Amino acid sequence: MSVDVEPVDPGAESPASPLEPPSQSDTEPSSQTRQLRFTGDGREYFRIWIVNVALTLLTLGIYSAWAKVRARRYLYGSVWLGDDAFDYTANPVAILRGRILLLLVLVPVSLAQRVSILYYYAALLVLMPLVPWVVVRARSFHLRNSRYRSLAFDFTGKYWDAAVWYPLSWAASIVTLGLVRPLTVLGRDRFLVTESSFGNRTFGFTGKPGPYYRMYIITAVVVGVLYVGGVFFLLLVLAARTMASGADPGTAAPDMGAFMIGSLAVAGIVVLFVAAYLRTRLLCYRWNSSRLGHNDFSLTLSFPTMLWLYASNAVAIVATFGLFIPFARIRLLRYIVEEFRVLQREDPDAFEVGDRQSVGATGAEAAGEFGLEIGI
Amino acid sequence: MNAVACRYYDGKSSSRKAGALTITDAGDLIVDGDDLEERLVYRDVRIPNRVADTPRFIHFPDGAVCEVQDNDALDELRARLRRDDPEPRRDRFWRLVHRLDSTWRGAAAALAVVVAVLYSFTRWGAPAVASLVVATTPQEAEALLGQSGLNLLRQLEVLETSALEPNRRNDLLAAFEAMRREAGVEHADLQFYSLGAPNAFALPGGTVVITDELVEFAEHDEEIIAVLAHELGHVEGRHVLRSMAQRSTLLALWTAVTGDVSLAALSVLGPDQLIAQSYSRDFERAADEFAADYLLRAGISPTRLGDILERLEHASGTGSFPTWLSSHPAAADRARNAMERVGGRDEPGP
Repeated sequence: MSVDVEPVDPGAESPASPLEPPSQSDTEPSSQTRQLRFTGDGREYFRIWIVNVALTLLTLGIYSAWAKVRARRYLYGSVWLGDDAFDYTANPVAILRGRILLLLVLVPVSLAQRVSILYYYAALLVLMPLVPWVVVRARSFHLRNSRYRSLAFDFTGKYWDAAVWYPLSWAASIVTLGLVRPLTVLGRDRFLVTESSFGNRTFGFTGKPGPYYRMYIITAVVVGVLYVGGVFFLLLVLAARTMASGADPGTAAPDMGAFMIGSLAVAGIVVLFVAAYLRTRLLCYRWNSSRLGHNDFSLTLSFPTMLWLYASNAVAIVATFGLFIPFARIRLLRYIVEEFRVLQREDPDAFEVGDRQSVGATGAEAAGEFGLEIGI
Repeated sequence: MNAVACRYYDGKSSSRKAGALTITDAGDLIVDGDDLEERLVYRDVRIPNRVADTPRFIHFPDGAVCEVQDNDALDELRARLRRDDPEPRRDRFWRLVHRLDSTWRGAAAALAVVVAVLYSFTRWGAPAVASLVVATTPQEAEALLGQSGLNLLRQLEVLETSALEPNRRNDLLAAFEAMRREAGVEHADLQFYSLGAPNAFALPGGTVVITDELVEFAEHDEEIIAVLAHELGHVEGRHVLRSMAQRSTLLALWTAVTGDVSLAALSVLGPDQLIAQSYSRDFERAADEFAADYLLRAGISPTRLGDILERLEHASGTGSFPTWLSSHPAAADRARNAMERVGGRDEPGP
């Protein structure tokens, strides 16, 4: 399960009171801890979401790009640092273009799969060189359209760096049976963070291999235990069922169905753990190791709380046939956003526009831009 | 004229100035304030549409940005900006969307649309897509699917080697082969296993499995023929593949709507069972009809199928299940359907 976690963008800081004190640039910048605030409301977001779904269905999917921007604008506008909310400025047409492009690539691949599995693998191999390009475009599209106090974030990652940390590092992980995986994730995080910037400042990264190895070893051990224990338990239950069974003729053997459901349950528990533990720890560590100028970040999420949020969200989504999805997103976001701290050591007014963001460039480029989105 | 409070950013730094937005009679937007060095005039400014009550950022052509938190005041200002011109269609559309998603009545209308579209898609769209998938899936691929399912069942020792006498098996094989030819089904074969319970099922690719226990349970060979005819009906309609295609089509639709495959999978987990069972009932009915047609042509009473099913149900005690919970129509219903079919057709002979 992956509930979108990304809209929390690193921010600058801000003076305390609303409109009145326009600038405090004369005061001595002192160190100060600021907490992000979240004003999103599940009911409000549900209405936006259900109208988005309805319009998406009625327009055969075309509206989905506008829906995305509307939902994002709501979420960004609900995240506050000091008394400034974030701003999402993506052009829906660019997103639509990106989605059509993705469809044009993926439909032939899935058709190839229908013809022969060999063609399918060949198609995947041909697509590999596209992966770094998509990664770079997606992240830069995402960050360049995220603004705080009128300044945009940016991402300047290059194709070949992305090629190292995506397809090539996957190959390295496979060859070494996962032993170098924590190192490649560290490299990927450093790449993603240090190539990001806000205004004219670049993010810094101080992550070390030790914590990555610790997180991955704990995950590997727990997942192993869950799998072995789960499958053992499943076989036990199945054996008992088979002995007691007396079924009538059907289209498929009932035990196969039970086995499938059981394996899905085991896989579900494993996914739940990975989301609540590994993904959460990676997210926290990435933020805690990031800095912007002299400002530091801190994010501490508790495993039991995340586990509870993910598990209860999953149950509620199943029970409501999906209608709980918007509430689930808001619950999760509220917890993550409100645990986020910025250790502010610089004057919030002191950030300046980055050199890549000269006014004309954004508009001119937007015409030919593909708004690609992937979960990084 | 009412001014709207705003925060002005010059587009070059993160420092902001308090300002006020007003509109001239000519429709120009003015940003003014004590902290601003000069009065700024903007022409042809697009004020962004409103999303709930989140702050709106007006991006000016020179890179400057104005943030407004009072949404009602800004909407009023925008209305005045367009006093003489008709409101652009785009703005009208977004005003409608805001009306829909800021009220529960609008949300309820949207929910009704979603339910109606999803229902129609489940009822008519997914089966149509599935027919297309079934028509284009090569027989070999389907057979591979069935084979791997069968292998799994054997490895798990759910299915064990049949202990039926070879003569008995050959008789049934011959009857099945004759049936297959008569009905014009291209790919179908019969296999015998022991399961510990009377059962028969069709796998993708055309393999029909019948258990020793079912062969022994039958009181008459015609009952076995009837069950095999029913399973051959599943093979002929490629029902297992069709059912898989229908359900994955729904998952694909919901994934496209929610934008997330795991959330979509969670959402359809509940309805999937109901939908699958409703599809399954359709398939059972089709297979029953196929069987009844064949039995009539072969001079066997179609009630044979109902007879054995009713006894099976009695033996396994599932008769108390409400129909909508079971993937199979109640045996009594099926027996009645078969009778209606007999009555509703011209009897080919005595």
